[in-house]
Amino acid sequence: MKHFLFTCLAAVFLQAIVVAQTTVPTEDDYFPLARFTIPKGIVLEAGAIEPLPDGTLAVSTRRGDIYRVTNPLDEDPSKATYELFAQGLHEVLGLTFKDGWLYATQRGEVTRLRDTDDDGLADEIETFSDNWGINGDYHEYAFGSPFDKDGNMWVVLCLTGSFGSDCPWRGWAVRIDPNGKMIPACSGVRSPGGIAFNAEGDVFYTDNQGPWNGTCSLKWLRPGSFQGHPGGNRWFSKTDGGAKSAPKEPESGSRIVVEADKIPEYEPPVILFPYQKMGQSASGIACDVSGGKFGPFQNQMFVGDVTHSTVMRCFIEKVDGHYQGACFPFREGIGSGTLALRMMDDGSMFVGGTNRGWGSRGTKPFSLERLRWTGKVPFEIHEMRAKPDGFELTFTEPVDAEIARKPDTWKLQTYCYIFQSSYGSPEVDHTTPTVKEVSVAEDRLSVRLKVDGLRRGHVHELHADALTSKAGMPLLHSSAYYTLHYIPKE
Amino acid sequence: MMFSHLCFRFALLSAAVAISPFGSAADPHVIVPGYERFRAEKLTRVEAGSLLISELNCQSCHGKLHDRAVPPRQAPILTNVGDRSSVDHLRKFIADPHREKPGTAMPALSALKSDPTVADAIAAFLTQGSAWRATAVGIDAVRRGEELYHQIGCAACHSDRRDDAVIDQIRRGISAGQATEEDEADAEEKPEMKWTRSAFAMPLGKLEQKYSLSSLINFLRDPHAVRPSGRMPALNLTPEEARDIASYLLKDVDVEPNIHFEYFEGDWQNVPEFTQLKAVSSGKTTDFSVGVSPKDELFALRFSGFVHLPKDGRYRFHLSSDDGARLLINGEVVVDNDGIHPGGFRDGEAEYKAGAYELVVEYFEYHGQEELAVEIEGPELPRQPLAGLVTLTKDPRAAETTAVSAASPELVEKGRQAFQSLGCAACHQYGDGDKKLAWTGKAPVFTAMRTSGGCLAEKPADNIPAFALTEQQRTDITAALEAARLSPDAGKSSNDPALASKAIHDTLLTLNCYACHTRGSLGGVSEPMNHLFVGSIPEMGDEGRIPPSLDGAGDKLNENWLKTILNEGAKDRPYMATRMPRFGAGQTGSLVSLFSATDALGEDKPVTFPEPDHRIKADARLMIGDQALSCIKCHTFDRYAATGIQSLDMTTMTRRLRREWFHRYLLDPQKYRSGTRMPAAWPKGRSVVPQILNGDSDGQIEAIWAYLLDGKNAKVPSGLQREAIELTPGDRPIIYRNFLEGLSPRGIAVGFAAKAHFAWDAEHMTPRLIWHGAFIDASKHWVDRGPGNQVPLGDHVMTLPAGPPLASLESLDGPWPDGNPRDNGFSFKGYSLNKEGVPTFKYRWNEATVTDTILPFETSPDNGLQRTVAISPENKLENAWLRIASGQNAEESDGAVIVDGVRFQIEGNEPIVRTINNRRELLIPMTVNAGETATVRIIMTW
Repeated sequence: MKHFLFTCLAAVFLQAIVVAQTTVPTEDDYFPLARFTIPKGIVLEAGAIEPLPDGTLAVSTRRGDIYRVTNPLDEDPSKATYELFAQGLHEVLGLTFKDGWLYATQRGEVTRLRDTDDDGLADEIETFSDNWGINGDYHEYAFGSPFDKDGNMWVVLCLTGSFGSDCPWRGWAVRIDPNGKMIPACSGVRSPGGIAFNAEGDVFYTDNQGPWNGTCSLKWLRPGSFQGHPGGNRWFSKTDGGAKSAPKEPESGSRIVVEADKIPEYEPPVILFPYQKMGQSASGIACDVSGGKFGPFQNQMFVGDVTHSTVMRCFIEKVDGHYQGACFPFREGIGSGTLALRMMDDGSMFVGGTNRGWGSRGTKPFSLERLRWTGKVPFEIHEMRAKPDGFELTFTEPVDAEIARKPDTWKLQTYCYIFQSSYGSPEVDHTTPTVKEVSVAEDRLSVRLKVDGLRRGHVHELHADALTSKAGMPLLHSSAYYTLHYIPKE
Repeated sequence: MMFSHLCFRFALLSAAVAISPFGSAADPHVIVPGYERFRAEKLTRVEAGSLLISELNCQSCHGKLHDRAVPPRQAPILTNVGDRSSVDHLRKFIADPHREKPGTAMPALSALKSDPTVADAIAAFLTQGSAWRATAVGIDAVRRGEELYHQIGCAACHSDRRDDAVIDQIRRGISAGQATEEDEADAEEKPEMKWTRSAFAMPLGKLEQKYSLSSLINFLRDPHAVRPSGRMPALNLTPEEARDIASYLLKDVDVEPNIHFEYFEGDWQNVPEFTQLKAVSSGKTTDFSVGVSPKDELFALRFSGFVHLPKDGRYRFHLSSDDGARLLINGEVVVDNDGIHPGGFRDGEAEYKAGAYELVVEYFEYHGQEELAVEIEGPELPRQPLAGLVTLTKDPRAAETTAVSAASPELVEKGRQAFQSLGCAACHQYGDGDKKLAWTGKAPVFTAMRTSGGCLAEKPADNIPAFALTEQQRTDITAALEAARLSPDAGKSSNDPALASKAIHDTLLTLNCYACHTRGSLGGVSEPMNHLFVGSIPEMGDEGRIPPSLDGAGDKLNENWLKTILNEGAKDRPYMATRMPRFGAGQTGSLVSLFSATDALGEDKPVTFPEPDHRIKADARLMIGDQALSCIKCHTFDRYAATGIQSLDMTTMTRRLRREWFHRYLLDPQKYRSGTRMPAAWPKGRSVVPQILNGDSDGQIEAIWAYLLDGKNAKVPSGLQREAIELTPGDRPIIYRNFLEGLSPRGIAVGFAAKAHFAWDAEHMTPRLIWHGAFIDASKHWVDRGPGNQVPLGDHVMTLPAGPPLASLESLDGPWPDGNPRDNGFSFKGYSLNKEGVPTFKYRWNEATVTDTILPFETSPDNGLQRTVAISPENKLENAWLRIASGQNAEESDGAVIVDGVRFQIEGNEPIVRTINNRRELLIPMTVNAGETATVRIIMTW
């Protein structure tokens, strides 16, 4: 009898869960993940992903293989097959296809490969550029971009370790021109996790928490800029300007904007990803240039996080000539640690994963997945723009004006990170600004927050848990983190 | 053995120029670290005064004032003080303590200053019958001791003792001797560091006048034996560490030469028969050190003197030498460490009666590095350099700096009386139990005394102790006395939580826990001390080098473990150089129960499972391993290293932690350790492994706890036992491009089913290794982060010369060029694969294109490799040579040349063998016309 009662209770309980699930939508309702089943014997620690003209998908691995995945866009991911195209490369973390060649960025060089006899295997493996040093330290990763609007490829080079640079151009971003000539472009790089362009074609990379990086971030590789870590600045001695042309060394223990105001070359991070809140290890970047096929976030950037096995969403704008913006949670549950992201023309986003050496919430050792939009519009904060006296938020769906108008609906706090030579930083200098006035646009698609106590140089963390859409839906993700390094004047 | 001698000389130099930062104190006054650091901003007047009353041990004269969280600081126990301190030092210190040791809590008596015979008498009484002498210290021990002192925690209270320039370099992140030219150029342009020395360091005084090496070693190993109040905690030093730190602290000791030496030159491979030899020179020294030799190879030394063994018993002698050495006592070999070898201790032991013995140490150096160290240990004699016990003559008095026998019984008696009457005995214990000397004087009790005048007067009267107090300190003490008078029960233990918090604060302040730990808004590593806290894993950031915060310490750690830490010290964080010292049982008051009462949160909510225990533990093991939460990526597990950073050993968790805290912490690590790298495996309370234990978070955490309760017996989780990943070539060769031992980081290994393999170097444009058998185990690079260089898995690994592979030689007498080929006209162009997958490497050399193809061919007993090099220049190449081999030996046989075990048969051009710089080189001429291609074939078997 007792047993029976328990069963009944369990049934009621289960029903309650089912009801709850139907009322509160999840990420799966908008951006479901299709998981590819990788055959036994293939270790697809996906370092880079690139579509090929024949409709297959090139996927490179940390073990140095390149596979061609067939039928990558088929609704059913189990239809895919995996064909080896090349092996014996050194940890390929960049792939791009151009004029019949597949360009692969290895630790020590950019190599281009092609199959001249059509047997499915690369037979010409040509060194395109190898003018940077390599010292044998496992940190010395190299991430390569596609070709930019001027035909240059960008490569970001991790330091020799966390702190220093033992051979030329470690800790730099370099450009490689169409002839394979390498031109050092930006110093101050620490430990990149990915590189890509935004919709305008400017180049961005992710850097990771460590010395001179209080937390992980998205950074803009403005040519000639210094990205904050002075470890690689010794190589200015090899530039035309010589050692004297190195930027002034930042003061350890300072703050990002204080140093940015002193050091003209220093380009502050575009978006700081608050440590643990958004992630712990920023990685691949993809920009949605699918023209609406990926949902309402056209031209926004997406960034992976290895530790949290997530994809984050980024809105950026230009203020005072510098990019800055906000990040939002977007999609969790990647099978392994998110590394490579690739947006396809049809609006599919491929996500490659590995957690070798760095742990992840996703428990698989490696993964390949595809995100697609179901066509249903999630209720999300679409954009978060800085204003001289607060923020302007836009939404994907009209908001409930009554709730939105209450200043209490918007919880704001700010903080920043110590800019220092030792590893990482806690959040410091916390403040709690006041939302003193809220106005809701007539179309209810945007909300203007007037804020007392905006703090330049601080991350502004916003929570709007109570907000609902006009239709009564809660936000799919109710938090946003705006990195306010510059306050617009108008 | 064959390395440069330079480092040794450098260490010697730097040890000699280091100066003490404590030479002059501008404002000598009693230093109590907590008072110095927090007085201005964080302490009330009463708190500050109460701390001083405790640390000056006022109660010993004035009776009990009130209960504080920890017992007052007792003065050092002086029974047997003559064994550790010199009579000279005691005499000077007693007469004028504030001049001898600025900052000391010891009061002065003006009567003693004016009549020095009283201090002489007290010193004579304290040291009667003891034999103290200064001893020389070893240079290497000083160097090691300096590093230990500044890393393991000594400097957290006593401050950095190095000079400003050294500290400045450390704080800039440039380690001495490693600065590159660029760094140095940078350094010149940089502004001065903003850095000041810590103002709150416990003074050390002139240690080299006070301690002998062995007495300081004994003190450092067990400071509580003479300073029982735990203010000087013990760092659980090994005998070697104590010797090194003591040597460093005594590095300025000035000793008379006490060892005779003779210096010989010659070519020996064993300790020579010295009686047959004539010494080149001779002299006296203070240490058994190779430093007395003007040469650094082909010499020998013979040291002699008398060793004074203080007690009957068994003595062990330790001898380390590079190259060989022997130690003889009364002509008998006790330790034999002869022959050519690197340094390393050997020992020998025997029974001896107390007395003097003839000692000889014989040593020789052949080539390479040189080293000599001689140490002794025996009854009540900690292991230490032997030099301190040696004299030039057999006379035992020569071993004592001070002739104590000279002190008359009258003087000793006068000293005893003064010790008792002047008040020394009020604070200092002398003698045990019934024999403990009592104070024969009297002072007013706290409750009955004025709060000005007496020892609080600006200039105390003749027989009133004069503490070096600032005016601020005096008014603080007055305030505390008055407060105690107004509310005599204040500070008594009670259940009031505010009082418990205050008691914790008082304890941390008094014991200077705040030097390393924060609690609430107080304490922690101060900026001037920041560089003294280092870790072996820089990536762990501050978590890897700064001791943890004590916020919630009683919530996190269980009472047993708290007790263990305080009573025994701890070293649970192997990556952190600083150790948690041992304060000693009873010296930390009620800190353990106070922590528990104040901090412990949460009630013991049991979690039960329908499944049996062994299934729960298996689930937990799965969660911890690399197939699920991968805790093992960052945490060590008993003897298994983690695969990423090396964080705290998981098998110690349940021994240290409270279960309730463990549950809450795993759900939200940031809440308890802001900024920690520990990820939240249950984000927002939800499990990321829903398939295990129904995804129930509490159940999963409880399972992990239950599993970890097995400690070292817990079954090793998956992912820690690395398995080989052998790459076995099949139909097509396997290319393995990675970091290979013996090549530049641009190595490309190629393996064949024929079991003859090679590794080609894309930095040097030439094959560097060839081998037989198994190809490569890729697990070094394909498991975890993959640091380090891989060696071939197979056998018969042979080395071929580095690049450049080609050179234009003006004359065959000229050397082969060295340096990176990439800086000398070479550039790598990649490779192409033929139908079978065999690579042809391609590179450019100035105006020529070169290809290099290597294939296995069948022969016995092992298959060989056939290498084809083709060169196509755009302009005519003259005097060009291809270097195939370079070795110690080369011999021609059957139309082939064998160089160091590899047989080369050349087809195409006629090779030559030449000798250059004592190396035998195999070269092939490569003269080619523009537009033509020259091809040579090299057949290699080995």
